[in-house]
Amino acid sequence: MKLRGLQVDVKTKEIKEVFEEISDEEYQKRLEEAKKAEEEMRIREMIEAKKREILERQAIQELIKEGKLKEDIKINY
Amino acid sequence: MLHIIRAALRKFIQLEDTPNSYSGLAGKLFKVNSAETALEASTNTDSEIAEAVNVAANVMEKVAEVEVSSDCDYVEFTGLDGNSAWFYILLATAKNATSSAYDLYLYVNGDTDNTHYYTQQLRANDTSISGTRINCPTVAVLGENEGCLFEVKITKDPNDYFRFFSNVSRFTGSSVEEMIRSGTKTSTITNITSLRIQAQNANAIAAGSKFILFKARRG
Repeated sequence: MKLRGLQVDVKTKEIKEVFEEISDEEYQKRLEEAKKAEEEMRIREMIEAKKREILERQAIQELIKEGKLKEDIKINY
Repeated sequence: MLHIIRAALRKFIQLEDTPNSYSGLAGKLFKVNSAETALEASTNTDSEIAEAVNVAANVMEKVAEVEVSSDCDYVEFTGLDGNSAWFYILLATAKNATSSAYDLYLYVNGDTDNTHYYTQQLRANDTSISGTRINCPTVAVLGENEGCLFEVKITKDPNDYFRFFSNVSRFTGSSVEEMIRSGTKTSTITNITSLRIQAQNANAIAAGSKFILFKARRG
């Protein structure tokens, strides 16, 4: 697997195209690590969204019980 | 004969290739004209020039800029001296050349092993805010074929750890999102000599992506 890069030497201001060879195994490993991290992030975000939704629903119910909100209140999550 | 010439040319303004008068030239410097045939007064006074030099010494200096002309994997700045610059600031607007979302990593001194870095991120999507810590140096995430704007502040801290934080604007219209990240390396460094922005996916930094690197201090 060849990585194609643009390398800027800040002293000479020269920009050149460079290539870096990495093994297919290394590239696959990097991709898998990244996919795993992305999946973990997606799950965390899903859990956070659900936690917030549940908390908001409970809070609304409590406020209705206390007579501070009308029963037909609608909140978009 | 010589004493006659000396008597005639006792003043600078009497020469043929100099101004005929000093009137209105207080504080001005003299320079060779553009035709390289005579001396003329500068537009600015010496104190104005000195002030401009002082201002220049106290503003950030652009180190380099790159506009990606065809899709690539990474953009790397070499020949840096973080010990002299103290702080670098990278301004970037990047586009995803692929139809898969991917991370943009920031590597220092050629160390492209993701496990040598950690990043803490906060993501704000409307009223939903989430946080996570990942074992890689992600400075931005680009959605499918999406563009984004981000800036990264970079330094080597007094304990010699590489540190950065980034601020990202991604997605468009009513889906616009804010992402803030703070990252570090797991081991110390002696200097910052190179910085590389690399896409997680192959050939994924699209043509038209722009990067400008500034340094905060003139060494």
